[in-house]
Amino acid sequence: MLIQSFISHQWKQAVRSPIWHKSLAMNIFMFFIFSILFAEVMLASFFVAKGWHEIVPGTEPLFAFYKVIAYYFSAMFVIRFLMQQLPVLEVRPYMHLSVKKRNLLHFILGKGSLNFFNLISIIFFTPFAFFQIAYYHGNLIALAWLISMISIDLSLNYLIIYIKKQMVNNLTIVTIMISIIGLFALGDYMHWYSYSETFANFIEFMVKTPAFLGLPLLLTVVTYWMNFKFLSMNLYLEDLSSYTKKTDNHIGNVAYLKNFGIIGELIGIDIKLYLRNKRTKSMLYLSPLFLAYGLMFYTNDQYDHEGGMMIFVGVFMTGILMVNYLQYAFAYEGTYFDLLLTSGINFKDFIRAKFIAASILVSVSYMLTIPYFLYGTEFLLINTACFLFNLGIVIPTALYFATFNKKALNLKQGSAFNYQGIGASHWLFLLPFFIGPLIIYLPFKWFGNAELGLIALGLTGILGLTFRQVFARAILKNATERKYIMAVGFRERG
Amino acid sequence: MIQVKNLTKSYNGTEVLNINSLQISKGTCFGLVGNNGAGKTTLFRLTLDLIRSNSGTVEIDNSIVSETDNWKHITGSFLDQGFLIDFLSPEEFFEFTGKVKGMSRDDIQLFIKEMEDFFNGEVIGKKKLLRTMSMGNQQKIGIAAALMGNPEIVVLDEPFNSLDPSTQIRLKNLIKQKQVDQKITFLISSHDLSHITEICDRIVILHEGKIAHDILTGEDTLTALEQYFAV
Repeated sequence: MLIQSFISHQWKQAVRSPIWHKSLAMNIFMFFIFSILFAEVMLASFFVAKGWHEIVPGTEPLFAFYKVIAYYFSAMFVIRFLMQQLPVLEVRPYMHLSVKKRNLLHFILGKGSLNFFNLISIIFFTPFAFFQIAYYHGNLIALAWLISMISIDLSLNYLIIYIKKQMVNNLTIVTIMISIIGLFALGDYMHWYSYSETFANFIEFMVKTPAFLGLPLLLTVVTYWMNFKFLSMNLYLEDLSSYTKKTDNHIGNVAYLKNFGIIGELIGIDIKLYLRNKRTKSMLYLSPLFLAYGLMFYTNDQYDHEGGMMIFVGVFMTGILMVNYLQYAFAYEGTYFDLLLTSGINFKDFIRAKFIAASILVSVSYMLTIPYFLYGTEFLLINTACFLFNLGIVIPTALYFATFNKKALNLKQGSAFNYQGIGASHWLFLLPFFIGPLIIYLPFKWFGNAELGLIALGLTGILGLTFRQVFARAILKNATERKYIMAVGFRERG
Repeated sequence: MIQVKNLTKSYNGTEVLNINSLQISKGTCFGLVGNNGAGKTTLFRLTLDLIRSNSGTVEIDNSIVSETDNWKHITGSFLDQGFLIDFLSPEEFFEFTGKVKGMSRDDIQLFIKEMEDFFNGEVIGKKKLLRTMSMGNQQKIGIAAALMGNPEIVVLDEPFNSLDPSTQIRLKNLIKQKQVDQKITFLISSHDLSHITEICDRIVILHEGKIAHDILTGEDTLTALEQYFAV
């Protein structure tokens, strides 16, 4: 009864959220993409499982697959660690009701097991159980094996949740756990033992001694119980949110900016916005990863050093931070847009502040990519051309597209797989960002003069820079015309 | 000071506001009362050019609000959370608002000092961000920010909400004092009839988007209002 109404509330919450209605087309599109992906993965695992003994022609196809499973679980561990969240906050409205705390906890933990990753595991293991295990060991063992594998996955699920919860409270436990895991990984790396062999041996042992297939089930129960215990002691409002956290309050104070009047103030506010909100902060954490993008391509001799791929990489590295900053302009300010409208800040200053901050971002990204010339001076040229293009063309274009924003971003949530507040115009904008430079560069390359292509790219950027005022006027006009639409949209925040 | 002419606003074909004519003269404390959905916030938003009217205009100091920005420098406002930047500390928020309103750093410090009594020691120097503060304290900060930079007009939507009793009394005194000292024109909406009769010279009752009564406050105003709203 209780669980039923929880589930129905969850369903209503999902279906009735204003974001769902507003971007129905977007959601249908995403659903479509995910369905196709899902079907493909399912078919692939089906055929791989069916023909596994032909793929690995050795004597022990099962053992080979067990080794794959070992790597699968370790990859899953990392991915889950980075992305998985426990939906604890959602029980807040129920906590004061006469609902048994136990039931709330079971609900939270039960919901925690229903996620995308667990679904992947089911798809991954089921075909193999039926085609391979059943062939060698019989249907009953195959079924037990499947349950056992899914149990290991669930244990992993709960272990990750436990670690992530403990990270807030008790760093020693986490440090110990991480060091143990690190030690095992190191051991494998130094060839003291083989992680995959050991793991595969363990699974084989379980299959040969079927009573032990129940072991993972026990593990699931233990990890579930650990979470249950932990949450039951920590299920208070103050534990659920970052309510009592007092840190970070002085981050982002740049006194130097105070010398630049209103524009300095506006940039200062943006810096604080970036450093004090979860969503923008997680974007910043990812930025070293973006800058390392070149390592994958520039160092690899398989790629044509003058190919379109290199231009793509150059534009991406020097521009992605700026694009993320500008694309959601106005939407970042969504929660205090009414203040901006009434306080007497004019849009001209606002736009100029964005231009300046974005130019600084692009320049810093560019400077950080300069060391790539160690892999060849051509990369310096590519990055310079891409930098100029970003500076002159992409900055005004991104800000122009940003004036079409009308959904406030919820900055309190992380940014991985977070599509809240992101609409069709953001995806649409990525086209000129990625394809624009190629349209300029590739014709020159095809006619045999790649350097000229780079020069053309850089010149386009400089041209854009000269006409920045024209762009600024267009942006100003659109922003002024759309301010009511934006304001109405931003006021509807969940 | 403020002139409303033939102002209408409707959502999806339903008219929520229709005001033929309304003038508010300088230095008035103008009170707006009415049940939920009567159009109080809509009128304030139209006055501050936050929504587009279907027809008609609002003028502040003889300039139409939707056509110029001049009025913004003499108008302070606090309607809701949308007027607060939640990831700033109160000090940072006042500094930002003050700068935008053209105040120097010393002006801002002086202003914060003046407001200390109103804040009751719960706002300044607490090392907290606005988003972690209570509703009442956020309300205090928003009201104070609306008073920054010597405004001629101050618009407050239900300012007494979520304030503790002492602060409600302090707010009443503050408004009366500012009205006398700086000749500020106040536009205030409230559900508390006694507060509004105490501070306002003129009270307008909105009903279904129209002006139902326009009263100059006198001795029997509170009784009249109570009678009007009695069920």
